[in-house]
Amino acid sequence: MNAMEIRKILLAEDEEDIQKVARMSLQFQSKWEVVVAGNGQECLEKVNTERPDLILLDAMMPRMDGYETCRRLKADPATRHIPVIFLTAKAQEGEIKKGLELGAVGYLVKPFDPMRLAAQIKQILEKEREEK
Amino acid sequence: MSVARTTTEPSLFSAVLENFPAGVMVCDPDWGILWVNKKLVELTGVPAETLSGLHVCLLPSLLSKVVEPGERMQQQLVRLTCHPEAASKVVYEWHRPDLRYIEQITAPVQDAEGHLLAYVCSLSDVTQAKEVDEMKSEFISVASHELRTPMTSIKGSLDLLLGGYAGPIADPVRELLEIGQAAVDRLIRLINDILDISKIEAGKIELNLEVLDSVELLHRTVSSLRTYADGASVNLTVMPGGPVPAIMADRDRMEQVLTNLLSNAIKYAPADTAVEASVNEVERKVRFSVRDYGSGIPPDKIGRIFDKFHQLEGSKKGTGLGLAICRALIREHGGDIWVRAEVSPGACFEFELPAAERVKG
Repeated sequence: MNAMEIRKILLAEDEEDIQKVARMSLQFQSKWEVVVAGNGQECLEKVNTERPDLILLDAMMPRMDGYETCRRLKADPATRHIPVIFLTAKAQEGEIKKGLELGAVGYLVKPFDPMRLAAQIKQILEKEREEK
Repeated sequence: MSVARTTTEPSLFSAVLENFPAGVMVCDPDWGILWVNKKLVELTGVPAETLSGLHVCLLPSLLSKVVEPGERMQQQLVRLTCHPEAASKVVYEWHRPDLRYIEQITAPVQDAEGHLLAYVCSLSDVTQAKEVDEMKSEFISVASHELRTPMTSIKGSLDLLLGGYAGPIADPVRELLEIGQAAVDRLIRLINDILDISKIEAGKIELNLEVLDSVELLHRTVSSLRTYADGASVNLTVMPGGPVPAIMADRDRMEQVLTNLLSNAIKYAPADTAVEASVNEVERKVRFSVRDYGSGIPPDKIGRIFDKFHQLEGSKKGTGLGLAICRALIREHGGDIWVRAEVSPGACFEFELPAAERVKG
């Protein structure tokens, strides 16, 4: 996925404050449309109706956590092509490794810098494209 | 304790071993079990007479009647008997029926000439310590998440306002928002540092060891701090040196240590002075040095400078953990770190790591 091709991002995040800050930050720094899911279950539902180009995924969420959500997204032929980036406060080495092993293309740690969030996403996608 | 020393000593020692609070097992140089104490019998549930004379590798087959030693114990014992120096400390997982962690520490017994007489092993139940350790890790993980979440909202809101998301802001408002922003950034650094040191102290840190070019590592870190040094009008330079061996280390962690020492030096350096970084080989070790020409460290503070939360008077808003983390990381790599205060003016922080096998120019 080229960063230029992104039009819509699905943000899976259970904290309303962070949903707002991340959405404002992405809309301020990019032209991407941001849709929000409040947990992993909702993320799996919305991925089918919204058809996002990228998924930003929190790790700790009620009903279904980010790791299980990522595993299911990558197991489904209809969604496995959508790049997933973790955006989470679970910042220990083992946790980062776990997220990447599940097929995420990158890992961003909270607290994130809202003035750089869009740039960091573009950087991850760029790096991923070069490595392919 | 001089009373009847010669006559009581052997019986005193055997009584000490017999009543020792950990399981003790003595093996001959070929790993035949010579002797076990009461506590070992209690731990294993196998009578001393059964154990006597057996090869230590047969221990798991006897244990399985009472405890379930797990498949790994056999492999651990084979490794111990082949490489006693490399496997001197192992932890077995015994199910009896609940899981118990049994730590075995083994040491060779040598005579004055260095001839191997026997091996002595101590076995202790470390389940409780292990559980406490796991609780600590769990706490670190939860605290990390619970503290970072509200911090993300605070930082995000302040950064967006200051970044112009809600339009232009008046100077006094900006000033107040910047105070909040600086404080939240400091709080984030503090939380990261506390989590970092807790992780290192709990032995939970994973080092990704690789062969690193020592000179390249230094140049790279110095480059990343160039803008910061320029902003403080400090002349940050790498001192020329000869060929230096590579080190076996974790790149991110080494950059963290160097960044910490260099940014401290820049922070305390008066404007228009230099901060000099160098790397040299000293007796088959690689020594990194960071020298500044600031006010230096008072001699009475030198001994505690690497302690947690120990900050000098007039410290410029650090977390008080940076140097403690540096020392913990360097020790984790098998090296040492110190500060030379005899240099004047200023201070010189140095750390040394063993050279890697392969020599780089």
